[in-house]
Amino acid sequence: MKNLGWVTALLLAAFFAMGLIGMFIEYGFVGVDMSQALLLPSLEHPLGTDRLGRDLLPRIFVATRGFFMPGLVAAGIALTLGVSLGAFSGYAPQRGGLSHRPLWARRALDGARTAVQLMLSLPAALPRFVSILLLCAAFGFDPYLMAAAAGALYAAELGEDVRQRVELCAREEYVEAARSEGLSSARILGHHILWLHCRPLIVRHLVHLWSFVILVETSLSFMPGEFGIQEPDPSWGNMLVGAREPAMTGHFWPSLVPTVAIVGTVVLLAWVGDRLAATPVNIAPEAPDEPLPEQI
Amino acid sequence: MSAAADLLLPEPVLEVDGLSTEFDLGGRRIRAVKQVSLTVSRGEILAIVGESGSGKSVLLQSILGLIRGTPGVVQGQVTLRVGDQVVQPFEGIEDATTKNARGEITGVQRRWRAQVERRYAGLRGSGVGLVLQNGRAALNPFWTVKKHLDFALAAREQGGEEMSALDWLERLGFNHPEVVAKSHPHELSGGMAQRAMLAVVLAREPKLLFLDEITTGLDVSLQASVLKLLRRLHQQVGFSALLITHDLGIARGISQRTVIMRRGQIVQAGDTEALFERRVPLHPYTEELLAQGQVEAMERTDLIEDLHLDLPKEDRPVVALTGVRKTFASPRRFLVKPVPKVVALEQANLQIQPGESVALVGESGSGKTTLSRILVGLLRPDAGVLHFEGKDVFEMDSFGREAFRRRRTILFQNPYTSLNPEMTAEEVVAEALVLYRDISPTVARNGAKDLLEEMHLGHRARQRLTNLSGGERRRVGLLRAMQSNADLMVLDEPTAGLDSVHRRDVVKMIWACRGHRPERALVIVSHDLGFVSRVADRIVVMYRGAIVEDVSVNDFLNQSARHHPYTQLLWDASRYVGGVRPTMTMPPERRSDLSEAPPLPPGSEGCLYRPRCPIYLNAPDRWARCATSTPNLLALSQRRRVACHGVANESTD
Repeated sequence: MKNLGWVTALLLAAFFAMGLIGMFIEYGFVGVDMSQALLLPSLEHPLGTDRLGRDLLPRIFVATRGFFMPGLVAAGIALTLGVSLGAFSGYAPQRGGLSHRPLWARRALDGARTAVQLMLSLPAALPRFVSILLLCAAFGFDPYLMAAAAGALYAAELGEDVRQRVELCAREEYVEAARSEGLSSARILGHHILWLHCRPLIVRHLVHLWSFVILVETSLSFMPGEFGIQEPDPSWGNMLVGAREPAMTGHFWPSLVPTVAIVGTVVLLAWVGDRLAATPVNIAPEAPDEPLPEQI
Repeated sequence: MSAAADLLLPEPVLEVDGLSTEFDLGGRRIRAVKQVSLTVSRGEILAIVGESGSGKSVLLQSILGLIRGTPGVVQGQVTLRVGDQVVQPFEGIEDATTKNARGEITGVQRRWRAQVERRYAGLRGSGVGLVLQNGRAALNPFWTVKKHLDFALAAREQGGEEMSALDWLERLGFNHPEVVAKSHPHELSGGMAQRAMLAVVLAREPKLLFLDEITTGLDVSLQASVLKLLRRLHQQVGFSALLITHDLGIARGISQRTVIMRRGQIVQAGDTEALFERRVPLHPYTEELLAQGQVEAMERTDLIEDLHLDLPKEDRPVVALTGVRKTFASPRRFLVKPVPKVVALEQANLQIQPGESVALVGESGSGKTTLSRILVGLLRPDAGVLHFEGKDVFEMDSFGREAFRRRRTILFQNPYTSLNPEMTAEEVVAEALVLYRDISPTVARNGAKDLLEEMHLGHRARQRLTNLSGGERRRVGLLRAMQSNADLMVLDEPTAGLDSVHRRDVVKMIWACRGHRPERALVIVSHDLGFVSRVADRIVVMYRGAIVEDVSVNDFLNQSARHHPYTQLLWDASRYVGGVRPTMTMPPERRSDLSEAPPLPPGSEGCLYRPRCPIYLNAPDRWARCATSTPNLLALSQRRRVACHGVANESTD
């Protein structure tokens, strides 16, 4: 966290606050009042109102329910699946290293590795958004289902990156050294490789996944049919859809609010992710110039 | 040549006057060279000796106008007098620099830089030549040696004696110049590539040579052959040279005058012999450097007595290897031509007693690293047995092997790759404490901090290893390895790449460690004979995967005993390069052939050393059995075993 500037930290805190507040707002975001329709911001409605006279402020907050908790669930799924599969695939000993084991054990391990590698590479062939769309069409829309699907698909990408990094690290001499000292595989893989070397990569992926969930949720609301969160429950996507009609008659405000929210959040998360992944560079202090003894 | 006339009228080829070079590293200012002045006279070889980071390479690059960073050279004057040309590349530098508000020099005008380049243009190649450390990398990989030489010969000035590419290769001591001429750089061995590069540079007949650590990457034996050659060429061709090295032994072997540099400044300059013979008052730093290169049997005994080392004499080896063989084969790949198997180790038998310190010595590729890794169970031999408490280690289950590994520890050669760079120094040491002492992580952390404090690394405790220098990392690694309660510790090249000052620290640490746990056996893999004879009790010499001699250190230092010719070669070589002086001068019939005779592949019939062996080459008819039967290690005395038909025969006579 030490390489997270305070501005970023503040914005991240604001994002979490928004998600948490959104979960506890009980009323004031569905009531229709046509006399208050399409108002610009005022003291009474700090973010103005939409075409049905609903206050935009609570709606923006409540809409975070569509991706805040589901995003966490997706991250959890991607973390568990991706890291475990990637770590296994990258760290399981190659054939040569098992030459003292029976043949069936080597065959079984080879088979398992091939299966895992397929699991990690196949999802790359599927268009992610379309796959989620298909799932939602088959089982009906639910933010958590959508998030789980996104997490599982993203786990492949995360797992592939983790696999590559683990494989590189496992070939390093310090791993060999640690093994020769009798350090357990769990400690080597868990601490030396995953914690010390893959942590930034994993964190960045998870944060990016979160913004991916936001985009999926928003895009689903744009699709014709029963996708996404449906009115009167707000989502940033359906708020944008609902604001299309007023925009045609010159009322741009209601579309501007969700647009700023979406773009701002996605950019913020991308930024935070990259900042977290960057390794801090602290240049070592130079040794003090000790005075040279008298020249001879 | 009258020495008096030379001393009276030294004609300077290169004069450097008050040269300073600075760099700007993201706001931090590094003064790499501070007000250096020196002179190289005609026909003289001047050595600049310093540790890494002393600014000697930057000095050389500055003189040659090769500094690319900013600000670069900020001050001073360089005068090169080559032939009838007098070039002052940095003339007028004071007016061309740009300064910031604080008066610091921020850079040099681009126009002026181009001008410096033009001033050098007539000089490069034919006037001054530069030979770099890695000959193979400095030559064009797509050109044969002949093409390089033809190119150089075509560019050289007309006049003088005409020499062809082959003549030059012959002069550089190649026995088969026509074969070498047709080779590409990667087909040459390190030593051959270095000589080929010397040929390419010398072919343009430069008057002034710059030699930048030209022997650093080579084995001792090759170092000696390159230096001998250079000396001969210096007598034949008569160039002047500025030699840069970190090794005082090299400076002594070849230079007339020596300049000692430290932290960008010259601390001492003077006649090489006078310096080494201590005929002039020495700067304390020079004294310190000189003390590194010496092996004194006295010092050893002192250390042993100081520690009251009571080496156990029982005959229960901690390690017993019998008939170990190891080959490496590249994995078979589709459509890729398989590389033949490489035999790294053949019929190795070795026993190490508790408390013994054994050094594995040999050139690169001799199998010493392979052997050391088998000793700790990291590599699995193809054949042979490694005994541990009466059982074969490689027949044990994984629990048994893990227990075995905890009784072994290895410190790898490279401190950059063998320690996790993301860990802090404290974590590295603490992890070992948790592993070996079975204490809680918090206690271990405090303990680690204290240990680092003792090693003068306390200020680095919280820093990740990426921020530590190579020497600091090595000390952290050594500290970690020392924590283990293993009864065998393998140190793989513990002094490689260390400055001579830190080398002394390592020697002290090893003795401290032996004093701390006298029952622990040490295996030290090294090619530094001076270092090895200070820390080991027994020396095992390896050549191409076979142990050729196994001798106690006292017998090793005693050169009147008859040794394997390869051991003799190592000694002979280290006389030139290591600052070590053997007590005996070697008669030529005992000297090994240092030419590029192709070595026999390990695993082939007969004695592998035969293409270089003076005994065999002097009388191949008498020693016909060297070509047919592999000599076994034969005990010549209680503390000396040699694998050589010749030596065995002589001692039975």
